[in-house]
Amino acid sequence: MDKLSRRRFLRSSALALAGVVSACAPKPAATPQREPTAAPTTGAPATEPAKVTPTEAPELSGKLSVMIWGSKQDIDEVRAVIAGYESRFPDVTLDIQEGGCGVDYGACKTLIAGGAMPDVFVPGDWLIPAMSQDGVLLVLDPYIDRDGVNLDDFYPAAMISLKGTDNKVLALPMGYHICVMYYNQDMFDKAGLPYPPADGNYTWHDVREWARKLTLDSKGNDANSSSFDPNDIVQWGMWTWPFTYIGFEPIILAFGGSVMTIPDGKKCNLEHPDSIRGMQFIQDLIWKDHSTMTPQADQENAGKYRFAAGEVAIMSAAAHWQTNIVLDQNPSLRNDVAAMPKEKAGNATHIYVTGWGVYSGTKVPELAWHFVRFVSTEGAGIEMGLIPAYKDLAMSDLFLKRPGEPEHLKEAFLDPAAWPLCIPPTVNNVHYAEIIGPDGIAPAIEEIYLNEKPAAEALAGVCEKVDAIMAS
Amino acid sequence: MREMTIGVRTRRGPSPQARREWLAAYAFLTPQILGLLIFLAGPLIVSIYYTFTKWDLVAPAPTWIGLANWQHLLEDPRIGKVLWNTVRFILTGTTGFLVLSLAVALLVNQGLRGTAVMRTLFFLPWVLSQVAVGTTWKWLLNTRSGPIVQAFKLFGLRSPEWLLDARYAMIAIAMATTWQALGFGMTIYLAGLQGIPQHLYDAAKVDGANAWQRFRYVTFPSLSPVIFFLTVTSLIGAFQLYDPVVMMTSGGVGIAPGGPKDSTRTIVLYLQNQMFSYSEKLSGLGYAATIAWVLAALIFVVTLIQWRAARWWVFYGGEED
Repeated sequence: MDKLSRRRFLRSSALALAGVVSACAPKPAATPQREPTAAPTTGAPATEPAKVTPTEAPELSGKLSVMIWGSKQDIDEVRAVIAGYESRFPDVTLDIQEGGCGVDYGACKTLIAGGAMPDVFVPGDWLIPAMSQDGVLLVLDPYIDRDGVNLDDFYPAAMISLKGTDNKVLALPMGYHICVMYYNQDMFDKAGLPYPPADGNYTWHDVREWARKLTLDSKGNDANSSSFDPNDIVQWGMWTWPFTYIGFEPIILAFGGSVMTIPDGKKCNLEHPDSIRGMQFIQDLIWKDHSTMTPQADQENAGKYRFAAGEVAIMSAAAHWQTNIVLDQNPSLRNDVAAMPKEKAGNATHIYVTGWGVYSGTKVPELAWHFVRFVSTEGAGIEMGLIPAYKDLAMSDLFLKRPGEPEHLKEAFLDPAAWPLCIPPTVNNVHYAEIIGPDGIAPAIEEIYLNEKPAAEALAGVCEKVDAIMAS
Repeated sequence: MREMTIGVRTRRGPSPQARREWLAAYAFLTPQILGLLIFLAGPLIVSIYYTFTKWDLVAPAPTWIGLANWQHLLEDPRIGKVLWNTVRFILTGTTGFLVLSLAVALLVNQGLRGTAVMRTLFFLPWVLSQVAVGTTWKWLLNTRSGPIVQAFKLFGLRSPEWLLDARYAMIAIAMATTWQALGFGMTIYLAGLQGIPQHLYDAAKVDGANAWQRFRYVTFPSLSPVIFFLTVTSLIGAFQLYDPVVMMTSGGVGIAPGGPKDSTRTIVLYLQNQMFSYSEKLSGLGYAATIAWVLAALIFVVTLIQWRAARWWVFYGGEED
């Protein structure tokens, strides 16, 4: 073996050090928004003259990184859509990464700081306000205008929350979740109850009555019975998300209340009598009627799994992912869906959207846009348990007659997207996450769900905190 | 003359061979030194710099804000709360670990039948990940059908709502971490116990010492270096508590990151929240780095105090009174 000379060793060491230092050197983070070229040149630098339109497949080439997230089933579904793009545009090389960016802003931040942010990712609408404020997402309006993408092809409610604080489009929708009522048909039959009308033509007070009748202890007594034992429940009448706005806001909206004032969303509205009434209604369902799962029971085994196992009759404010759970765990369960019920303010529900977005610092904005446009429109698929936001796909048999889907899919999931009170909770409010967090309303909501205080007492003074957050 | 020259050379410095050896030694050490500089000293220095900046990781570079992060730390009402939460964990979890693992070590050191099996069983949880332990204990403590809650019922007692009640959530975490670390503590204590010479016990017996007196005057002083080691390391670990808190009291939609009424938000969790939490106002990397440095200083001071106090109660073999 040759001896390593001192000079050679030092040279090698210096080279190695230089390599390590250059590898660790920070790369540029978010870059300023760029304008699209007059006509797109996918995969080529944005400043080059246009040669092809995005749909002229043979001349498309380049490399694009795409980050996706979700359960294994979600990932498989998204990959199937991406495979459609790859087969249509074989000269585009896709680097598909699985990671948290899109569901968790923190994951995006570390990727940005490390210079490893993918060109395309899948942001949830709960991150859009903060990302809009930080300029992380490429503004898509110039591309949409130039290429004549018709936003009316998407459900309008799905587009609202993918717009930034300045009303610019920051992502195209992959699909949306809308809160609906799932119910166990066998349990309704056994109790002699009519099924909830699929179009939402029933009230929360109807639900309350049904839930009491559908809640059974081990001796078969329902919650109306004087012999009923609330400590020995074997069948719950209802489940709703404990602690979170996804669970309570559709209820208080129907009662005429809300977390923030509607439609401006600028002031806290939780101390409004209608908001308090709605929250008290939830507390009563859980602790007075004993007909709705307690947070403790949910901690033991989450309601979505209990519903699939046939232990819960009504799932309130559940979304389309519940169908996937049922199909996965208990495909023989007879269940259907109905739109959310009404109260004095009408029918109300929440919509939350997942979209395809482009990182503002991408070096291949045209190719990224081309990809996003394709997978959101003509190449869109049924992904991540979401309702397709692309109307053509949502109204097609591919979705409406998909095996295993509930019968009243259209009435429960598609029609309510046009309701006046179909509200994306986080829209245009960069403070929303903080408002619902421990500095905002979370302690009060915790007290209500754990039955530590009546709603009016728990919510007293909460708006002072929320308005202070809004003013910060 | 020649001899004189050689003599002068010797006094001036090492011989060429010695120099070659030094050079070779440094050459072999260079990768280590470079590694330490790049991956340890570098980030440490940079993190100090960050404490004087504000950065959300999205902006191209941090913004210099001077002492604002340190000032904010002094005014931050949550710091006292998260420190107190950490202290509560130390009082329950660390103390429980030190005492119970000693008790277990004394038990399995008796030479009873099945000792080897017991040692293995006690040690097994130590090889599990904290995430797995947190998940398991979350199930064990669930309020409706958790085995621990059922055990309370068996004795006609009402179980606390462990993970949903601010009074008990940190105790539940302490129970889980103690259970996991018990085997590690037991092993270290055992090594210490088996190093105590038998003749000390024999002499104590001859002097009429009972079991407690033998523990008090023979076992405890002989084990004091081991106790000292475990106290120092477990306290450092307690200050860095994170995984079990996240697993047991911060998971799920709508559940605040700090458990019920913020009762389990430790200083490390708070540090992480300040950088990445979804449901809070974020102060950014600079403030998170400031908290990290305060934590490091705190650990240093507590360790130093233990080190200084050790002279009063830690006895090393061969020392004279």
